[in-house]
Amino acid sequence: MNEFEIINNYVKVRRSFGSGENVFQENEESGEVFIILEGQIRIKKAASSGRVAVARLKKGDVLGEARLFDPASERRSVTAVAEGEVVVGLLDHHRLTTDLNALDPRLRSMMRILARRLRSITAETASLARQSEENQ
Amino acid sequence: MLTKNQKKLPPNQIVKYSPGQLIFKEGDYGASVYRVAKGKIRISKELQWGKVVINELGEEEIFGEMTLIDGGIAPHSNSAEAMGEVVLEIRHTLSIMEDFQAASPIVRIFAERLIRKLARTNLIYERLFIQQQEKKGNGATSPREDLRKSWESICKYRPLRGHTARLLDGFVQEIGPEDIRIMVAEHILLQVDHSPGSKFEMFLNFPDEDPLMVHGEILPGARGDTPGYRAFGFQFIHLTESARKKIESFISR
Repeated sequence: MNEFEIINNYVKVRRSFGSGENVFQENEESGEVFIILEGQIRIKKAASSGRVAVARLKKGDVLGEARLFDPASERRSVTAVAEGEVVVGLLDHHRLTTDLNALDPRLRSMMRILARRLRSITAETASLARQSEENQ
Repeated sequence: MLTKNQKKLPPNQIVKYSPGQLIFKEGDYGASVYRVAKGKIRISKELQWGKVVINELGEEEIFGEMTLIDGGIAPHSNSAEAMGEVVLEIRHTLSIMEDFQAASPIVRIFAERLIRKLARTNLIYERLFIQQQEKKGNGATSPREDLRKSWESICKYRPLRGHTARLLDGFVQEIGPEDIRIMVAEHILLQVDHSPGSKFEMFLNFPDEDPLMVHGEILPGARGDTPGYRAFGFQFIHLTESARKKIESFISR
């Protein structure tokens, strides 16, 4: 099984979004993990003045896996917008949590720390990007 | 913090560092992941105009995690040094990878993706941070601008991961000692990920020489000046001394 098939195996519910629709919004409370089954999603992050696009995700990419490792952060750190028609698969959270709990506690702790740093460095990068756009 | 309340697990190796002591140096090969048990460390990078401190990490923070992805085959891109008295818990990359083998495949996939994402974001952060420092005047003379050469040629390249991938055509616009600017047709962008931080193997066709193979990583800030194409900066990574010399000698020709 390739990575896509392994992840796809955890899909519980499929959801469709039209072009321009928000799949989720920054600061929204949600612990859901999605995989993109069809289409593309643009990830944006609020900066001091306006929003900065930080990434574009495509089929097979996963949204919210950081949250899985760091459940303390229940709020979305970015906004995800559908670019064209998009279908996402919502992953079975119960199964994921069970798998994660079986992970060696030292690794779990390491991944939680890294997930936290990803969150903070993403925020700092977005604010730097905004500053450098303003300076140009 | 949650981790502090957990039972302490047997650590692999505890090492003390004195103030200012180097933990690892940019360019060194590493095969360890570090956790700050006590004190604070500083991550820095040596640039042509001096050293720039990119980050400071305190207790419970982890660094050196990229070795989990590249297995220690790539040199450290930064230096780490102790700020004051520091105690680090050091684990060998292989021992961590071994523990990961026991994990369910989806957890392994997610962990690997998260570390990659962190590495990409770190890289973009670093570029922006350095640019900002240079603008502030720390680098009054930007080291690269006068050393660029416009160069029209075709560069064959392909993603570094998946060496079986077919070669793509890029149209070189200009080259500097640290990076190359290449125009890529939009249809290629639909097939191959060109987001910042993506790594490629590239073949530079200098006149009268065999193609020079180098590795390049996409810089943020792609431009779309020509319809149907986008121009990307690829920063050279892990450049060997002989490759660096060849590039510099071509630029000054």
